[in-house]
Amino acid sequence: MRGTDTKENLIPIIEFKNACFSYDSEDMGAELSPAVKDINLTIYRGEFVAVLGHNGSGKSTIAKMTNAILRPTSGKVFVEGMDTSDEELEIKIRQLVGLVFQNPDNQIVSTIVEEDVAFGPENLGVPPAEIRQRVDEALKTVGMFEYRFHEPHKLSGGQKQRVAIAGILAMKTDCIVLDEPTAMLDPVGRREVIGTIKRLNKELGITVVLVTHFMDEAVLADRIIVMNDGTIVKDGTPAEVFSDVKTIKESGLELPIGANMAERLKKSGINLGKGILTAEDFATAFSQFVVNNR
Amino acid sequence: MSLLELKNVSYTYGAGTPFEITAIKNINLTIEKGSFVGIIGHTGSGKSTLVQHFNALLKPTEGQVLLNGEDINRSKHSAHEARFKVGLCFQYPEYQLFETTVYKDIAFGPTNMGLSEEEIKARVLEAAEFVGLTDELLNKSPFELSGGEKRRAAIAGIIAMRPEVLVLDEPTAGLDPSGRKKILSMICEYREKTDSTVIIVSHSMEDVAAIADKIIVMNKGQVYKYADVHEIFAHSGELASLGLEVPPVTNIFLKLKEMGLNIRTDIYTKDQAEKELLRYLQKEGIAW
Repeated sequence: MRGTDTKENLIPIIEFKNACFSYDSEDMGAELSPAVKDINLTIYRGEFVAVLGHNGSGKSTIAKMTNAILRPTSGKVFVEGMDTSDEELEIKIRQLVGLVFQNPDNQIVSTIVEEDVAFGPENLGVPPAEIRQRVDEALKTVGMFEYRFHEPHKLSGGQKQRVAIAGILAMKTDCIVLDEPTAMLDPVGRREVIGTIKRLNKELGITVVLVTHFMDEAVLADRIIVMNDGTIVKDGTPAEVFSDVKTIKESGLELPIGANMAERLKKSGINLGKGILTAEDFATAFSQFVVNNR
Repeated sequence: MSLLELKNVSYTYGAGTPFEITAIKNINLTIEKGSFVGIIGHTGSGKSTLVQHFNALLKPTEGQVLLNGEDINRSKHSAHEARFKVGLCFQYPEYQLFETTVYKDIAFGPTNMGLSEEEIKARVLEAAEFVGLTDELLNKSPFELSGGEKRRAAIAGIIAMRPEVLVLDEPTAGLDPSGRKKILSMICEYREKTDSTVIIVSHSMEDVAAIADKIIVMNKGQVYKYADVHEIFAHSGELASLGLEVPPVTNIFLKLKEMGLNIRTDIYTKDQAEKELLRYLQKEGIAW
């Protein structure tokens, strides 16, 4: 997305303007430092953006601010130009931006998979015939159609997360924000969920914001945002972000495996070039290096 | 010396009902005193059922579990004792904190052991130090702690029982990279200082490869392989065929081999990887 198009061709979907948020603002008496400070960030339609940062860096707060679950204590957040601080716009905003959380068990509302997926559109007052169609379509998109009559609590973690994603698709949202959706999953579940997310973005053009701890998931995005101490410390393509080793380390993150090994070799005077992120990238660059220098 | 021994252990959930499922079958294995064992296998392979046999939380449908040569299920008393000798820390243990202060939560196990007030205090402080919780935090409510601190408090509650075997189910799940590193180095340090036996169940092949000496690979309720870490990763292709991941760094070498380079594939840590890559370049006359 970025890098190929110029910024002028891109249509903003979510805009943070000097947005701050403190958890102490409402009912907690204690003085806490703000969770996020003075955030300026624009997410464009069709982008796949990953948000990285250590625990407590403010990345989950940002996720919750994208659809008015949290409203800025100062500054503004706009979704398609709608101010998230305006409570009357809340339903419209949530129709555009849907959130998937970390714990698959906390998101189940029904005893049958297809009823669970229908929950969102039902609440939006969508006519029954259309709900039927949307639910089937959403379940097919995430590859869970054959499980439509199953009990959600008996599914695997990866399957539960895909049902949660289908629930959002059935609301026809333009943007999905996922807050560490794979943190509690095993490797198989992680692959299922990440594969689904990629497909939504590439095939259906849905805007994806993925908050994650996993560097190998972040490298799949078009753009990475690194959070530290409540602010954005880096914003760029995966290659740009992971070439800034200093910021990555200072932010409590690590390099993806390919970048990590390339960095190690560099210290021994072997330069394999730029933009090496994954194991695949590294293997390709290394074997090329061998051919070129033999 | 064998510390924990499983002999022909099988366990069936819901035996005699239509929902009968045999979760583990015919398990024979020996955990040596002082060893550091990793247990891997995908969801449903029987890992959690297996570890719950180590401290008599589950009683085998068939077979025996021996601790120091004695069947832990021989009496109610021995099963009770096993809970203290084998400390089992569940997945997401922070959800099980319940006391009003961190101190009381860590003291829960030792208190149940019937120890004196003085002894309990000594153990709580010792355990808190192992996991890096300051005295100041001990007086707080567990719910005031950060996610990483809560997890460490929960682990301290187990360590405070001074178990002969410490079993941790997915100790790093859901943590960020620095939280993961902290927990892992804490476990290694604990083991060095106490000479105790540690067993860790994990989905993260990278974590297991980096810290364990031996690995148990579970598949379909059985022990597929039980060997030294090196031996396990010498056959990384096999792991992939079981639907298990190999450490990300091993992937690099599998790919290089595929590309026709004459390079080792039994590499599972980044340090080994760096060495092998440099060795390869030297051998090819590219670097020196």
